[in-house]
Order: sequence, then structure tokens, then C-alpha cells
Amino acid sequence: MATETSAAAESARQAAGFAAVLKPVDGHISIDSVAGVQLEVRDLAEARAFYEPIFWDAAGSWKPSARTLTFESGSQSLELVQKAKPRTFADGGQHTAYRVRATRVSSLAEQLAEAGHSVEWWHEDHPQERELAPYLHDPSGNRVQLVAASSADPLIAHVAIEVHAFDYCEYLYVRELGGEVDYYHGWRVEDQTAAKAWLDGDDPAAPWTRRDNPGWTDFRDQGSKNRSIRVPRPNTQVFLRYGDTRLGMISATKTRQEPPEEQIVGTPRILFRSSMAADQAAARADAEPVPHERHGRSIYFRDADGNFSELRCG
Amino acid sequence: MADIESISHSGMVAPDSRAVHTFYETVLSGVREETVSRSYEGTRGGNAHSCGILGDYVFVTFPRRRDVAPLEQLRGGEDSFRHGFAVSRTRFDEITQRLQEQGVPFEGPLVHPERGPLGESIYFRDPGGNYFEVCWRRDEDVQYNPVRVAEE
Repeated sequence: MATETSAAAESARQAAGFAAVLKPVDGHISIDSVAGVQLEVRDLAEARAFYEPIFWDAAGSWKPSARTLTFESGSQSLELVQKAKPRTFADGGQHTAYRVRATRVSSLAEQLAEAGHSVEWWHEDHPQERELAPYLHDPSGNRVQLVAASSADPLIAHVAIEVHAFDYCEYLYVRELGGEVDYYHGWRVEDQTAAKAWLDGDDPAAPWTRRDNPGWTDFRDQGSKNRSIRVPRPNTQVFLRYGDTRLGMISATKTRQEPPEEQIVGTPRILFRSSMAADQAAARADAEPVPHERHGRSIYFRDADGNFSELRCG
Repeated sequence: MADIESISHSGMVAPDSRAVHTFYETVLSGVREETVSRSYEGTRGGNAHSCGILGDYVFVTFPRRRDVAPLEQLRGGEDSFRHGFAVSRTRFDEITQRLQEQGVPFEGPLVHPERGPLGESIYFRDPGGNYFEVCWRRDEDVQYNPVRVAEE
């Protein structure tokens, strides 16, 4: 299906400019929550063996098909798609945070470590993520965070993606899809102060939340650089709220190969749920300039940085 | 002699630079142009700063702390350094009303001398303490030196 870029959308883009991107536009698409993620994995059975202990106290069930495997829990789902070369972002800030009953987080982390997974305890910068939490990768390289919670319902606490173009992404995820800016990091003096603590080695901040300025001589001086002359900085982050769930936009830590620009439907992708009728949501999407496609009751988007999302309408 | 033609932009600093930029957008109808925040831009990257436009004037905002007069000193105390924007008489009243609606403290309108160039001014501070004046000019029909951006 061709990308929908109507004349109405173009005139809306020209009329709106990029003003007021911080606020949802009147008549924006109404999203109830992050409904899940669709991730690429190398082997479905291997992935299930990894995720089963994490979802042990989540009410839900596995639904296999030929090349996909879905864990459905309430209104959310983890959908795994088998790919020979999974597109994951193991060294970046993209991750999915799953709720785990607080009383079993430590024992679960130990269990996963004993099974051979490398588990790191880090904190992030959102006010609800300043306590240390375990992070690890699934066997295909998808980053997983375990969030201590009173219950595993809803299953997914938040999803984080990497972005370069914050303005464009805020246009899509805030103005068009109605996310509310919940917290931002990197614009404040105290954010810079926190980054300095990280450079001193006293702060187990998740690696994608901080950065050290690269120098052009790094390739030459690798291993001998005096780190004390570096300038630690917070890595820019914006968190958006959709119902009880959150989407984090993390400044990309490297430039990656994106799928072809004309591709709108792809994986990995964020799943959003809306109680709006698909016709109504599609009409609103048509009035905005962001590329999208409609397939049945789903509307697919792609942001400027190659992140895919799917809006599943009621 | 250096042949300088105009002011290009101002770099504004505030403890929360995004809050300042949001103020420019939501209260003063500014337009955000671009947020420079990318991790791969070397020594300039990663430190989020926003570029925006108020009227025809470009602002870049940075997170910095500096000594400013207490916010209740709307006219800046001893340091009265400020940006002054001229608007039409009609627009001046709209801005005054907007500030009232948004709960932004301001001083004025101050009526200037009748034979002077300025009609009225209001004074206020952004969330970072940066000091602004908005005025209307009695000679608002006069075109001031237009900026020459290139030889014809």
C-alpha cells in the first residue's frame, strides 16, 4: 500500500509549521496505552525459554504460529517475529521494561545470571527509575529491563527507542499521537551535574543515559587518553505518557543503518492501542504530514529515525 | 572599521533551558526550529539546546546557572539588561492579556513620554530569569534600517 501523503496533510503541515509541538494538536489521535512491542528474534523456542521465567507471575498465555510467538497478558503483548538476522539494538538505549513482582526481582536476576545471561544493575533518569534495576539481553540481543512492581499487570511498564530528531519525533508522538511529556532530561543544570558524578565512577547510570564527548584524536590516542579532560554530558531523553504506560525517547548513541525510507511497516515496532474507530484515527492521521499506512484496523507509522509503530484501533 | 549589520541571535541561559523555550512557545508564540541534541555531533552534541524564533529573532537556549535578580524584581534590579521587542499597538494589548491569562507576572504598562518614540512598555521575566520588555512605538509606521543580507 502506498504511503498516504494527501494534499490536506501537506497544507496542514505548512499551516502548522513546527510550532506548538510540545502539545497534542486539537483532535489528535487518542491512544489508551502502549499495548506491547513486536521484536525480532533468531529462534522462537530459545526466546520463549528466556522470557518464560520473567513472565512467571504474569497472567497470560503463549500463542505460537508459524514464524511468530506471542505472549498475551491482559491488554498487552510481546510479539516475537523470527528473523535470520534479528534487527536489535543491543548496544543502545532501546529497551523494553517488564514489570516483575518486587519480591522476586533479585532472585529472578540471579536465576537469569546463573543461566548464563549477563545482568547489570543500573539506574536511569526518569524519577520512577532512579533505583537500581537489572538489565540484560534476550538471546537475540533485545535489551530487557526488569521493573520492580506490586504486580506484573500490566506487563510492560515502558518502551524506549533511540532517536536523533527530537523535534520530528515529538511532532509525531506528542502532537499527533497525544503523548504527554512526563519528564525530560538533559536540559537542566542538575542533569549536567549528575553526569559529572558518572564520570567520577560513582554512579551506575545506564550507559545510554550519559555520554563523554568524543574527540577527533580518539582514534589515535585510544587507550592513552586522559579521561580527566573529558566533558561528561547527560544524554538527552524525553519521556511521554500514554495512559499508565510510557514511551522513552533516548538520544541515539550511534548512527545505524535504517530500513529503506519508503518502508512504513516493519519491525521492531511499538504497539499502541486506541479505542478510537480506525476510520476516525485514519482521518486524523491523514490530516498530518507524517507518513503512515492503514491495513484493516491498524495504522502504521514510521518516525524520522526509522522507528516503527502500529496503532491498533478499537 | 568592522561593518557589522545586525544582531543575529541571542544565546539565552537558564537552569532549565527547555522550560524557557516552552515559555517562548506557549506564552510568546515563538516557534521551535530545531533541538540540537544528537550524540554524534562531536563536541557540540549531546548537550541539548533548542533553537527557536520569536518574531524574526533567533534564540538559542542553554542549561546554565547564573546570578539573576530575584524573579519578583520584574525590572531586573540593578542589572536591567534585557531584550526589548517592539510590537504593534494592537498586538501589545494582546500580549498583555496573554500574560495575564497565563499567570505571568509583569510590570506595566508603563506610559512613556508623549513626545518620545515609545508608547508603552511591559516588563517580565522568563522562567530562567531572563528579562524582557515588550513595547509599542508611536512611530510604528516608520520602517527602521532594513537588514541587508546580501548585495544585490
